[in-house]
Amino acid sequence: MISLEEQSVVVHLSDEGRRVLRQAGMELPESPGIRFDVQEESGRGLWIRLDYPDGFRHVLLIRWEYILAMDVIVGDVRTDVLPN
Amino acid sequence: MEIVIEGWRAGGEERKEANSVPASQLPSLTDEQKKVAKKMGISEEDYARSAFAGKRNQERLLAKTRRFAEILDRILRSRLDEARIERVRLITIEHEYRVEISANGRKFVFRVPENMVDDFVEGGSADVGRLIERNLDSVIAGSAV
Repeated sequence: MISLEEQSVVVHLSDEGRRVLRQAGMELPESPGIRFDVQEESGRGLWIRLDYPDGFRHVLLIRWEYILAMDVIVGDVRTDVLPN
Repeated sequence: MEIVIEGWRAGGEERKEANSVPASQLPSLTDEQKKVAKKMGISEEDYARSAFAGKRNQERLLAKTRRFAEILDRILRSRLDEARIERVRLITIEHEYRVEISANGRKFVFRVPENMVDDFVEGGSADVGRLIERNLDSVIAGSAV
């Protein structure tokens, strides 16, 4: 089962979602997609991790209803060999 | 024994490191990567920082998986002398290990939730270690049927 905890995601927000996040003090890029680091997912939405310029870490909830699409950057495959 | 890390994560430390690296020192993107960043609707720099953090995170996951594989291999051999681990795969997005084992001419898969491995290998929890051993015993017994 997929778990988004600690994944890097690119989220496409609704206009309302962008408005609400700006109201919450976030500086959003003008690009269509916005990359976030997920702290945790819940039934209410996505808890994202933000490092603010004041040096403090914040965790912010984006409600699912504001998320139109999401791309999870899962990454590539890394292999190694251990002697048996 | 093969160790496979499928994917990476946005670990807090690696992300902090990636964010502090000057843009000029980030690995340059291939043309294909630039195209994907554009399709995803994010900047090339944001894409490069994600990949940088992800690669660093994979190093940490690889080290953790090596330690787990070595411990599990010792446990397995104490039960079945001729048994061996063929491959240990960490599926990062599912937070799960899949260990492919061969014993008595048969092959089977032993699945372990990653949080158990964290508690055992990094947290030193003897209780979780015993639980993993019991689970392994059940899987070995089941594979012999």
